[in-house]
Amino acid sequence: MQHGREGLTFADRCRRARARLLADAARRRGTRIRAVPIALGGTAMVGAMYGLVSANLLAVNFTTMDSTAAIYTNYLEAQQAAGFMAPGTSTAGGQVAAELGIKTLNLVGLCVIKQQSTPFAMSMVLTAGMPVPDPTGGNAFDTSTPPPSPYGSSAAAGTVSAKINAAGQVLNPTTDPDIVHGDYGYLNSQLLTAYGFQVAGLDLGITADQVNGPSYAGIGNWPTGGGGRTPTAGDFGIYAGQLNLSGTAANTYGLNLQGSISLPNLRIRVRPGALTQADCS
Amino acid sequence: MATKARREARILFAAFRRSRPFWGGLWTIVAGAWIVKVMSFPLGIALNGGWSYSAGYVVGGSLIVFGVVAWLAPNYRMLAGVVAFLLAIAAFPVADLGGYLVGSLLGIVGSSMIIAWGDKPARLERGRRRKRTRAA
Repeated sequence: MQHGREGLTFADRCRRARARLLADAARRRGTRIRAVPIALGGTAMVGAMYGLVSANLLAVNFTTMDSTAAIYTNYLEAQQAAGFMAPGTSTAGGQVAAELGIKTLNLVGLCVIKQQSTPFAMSMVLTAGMPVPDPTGGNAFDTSTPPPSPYGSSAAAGTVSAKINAAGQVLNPTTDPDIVHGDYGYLNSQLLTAYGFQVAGLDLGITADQVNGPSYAGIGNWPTGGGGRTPTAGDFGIYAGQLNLSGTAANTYGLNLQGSISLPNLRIRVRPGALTQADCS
Repeated sequence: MATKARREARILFAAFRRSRPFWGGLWTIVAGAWIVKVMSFPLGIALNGGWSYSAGYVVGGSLIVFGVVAWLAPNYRMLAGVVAFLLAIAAFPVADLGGYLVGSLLGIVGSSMIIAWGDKPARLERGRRRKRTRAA
């Protein structure tokens, strides 16, 4: 039998602790009603921040990796976009994925759907800017069907085209509440489908280490990709000075916004089940 | 024997639950775990990839720690509750919109319950007080 402090055995100490616990529990204590105003105050503060984000006054950090998220937009205007593929660039599931980085991006509407693996299936839908209706009838990632028409669905075409000038540039990217504006965005994607609206300054003859160089994208330090790989000499690289795509859908395993992003008209919904682009509008 | 042990475990768990902000701590821990899950990256990337990768671990992990502190050291519940409350709010701009709002809201509810946990007036006293009020 072991004797500890005060010459008590372990069993004695257990008995004491039990008696102390039971005596402590005998007092009438619990959560008092004052929890309600405190919780309401906190919720109001988060609500105020939500409003600031929606009004383009507060930038947020948004990063995902190794969990599938589908990204949809009516129109993407990317200035200085670079990508690379490397053998080590893969998702946690071992699927090969390409890394894409954009220095400045303007999106006419944004919808992100992320399936969360919890004990029950649930999806989180984040929408910002204008609605992103489904132009493909649920086949956004079906590469055997023709790409969607410019500006996404015909219903939204007029609204979307009003946001773009003849040169394909998004009008008023920082002030229009229908536009999501960001910089230094990086995407780890397995599949990207879109209608190529305007591609300028395309360079296919570069290696991955050059995509980050000052003469190409110059988008700063590339974050470590899904496979823990940065652009490396000898791997395939691609660069476009201007990459404008409409009806864009990307299946991403990692989304990293190193710069700031504005999320006007921000809306977040958490719903049970697996949601699709039809839930974006 | 097994029934007696089960009964004893139930009594001790009930005593544990009543003697500390159990539910507030639980919601705070769930909020932290949710934020960590939403922003879960391989540890190597979280350590080397900068704030955008480590924010979930830092904010979510801290919420878990302060939920556990509220359980194991109920005397420090006010400190744990206030810090958890601020962390739950800070999670919104730094950790994927507070784990898509779910983590932030759960954290606010849990930490508010921790802050507001304490002595309640005894039922008998409250009855007497009512009578006294009526008599007056």
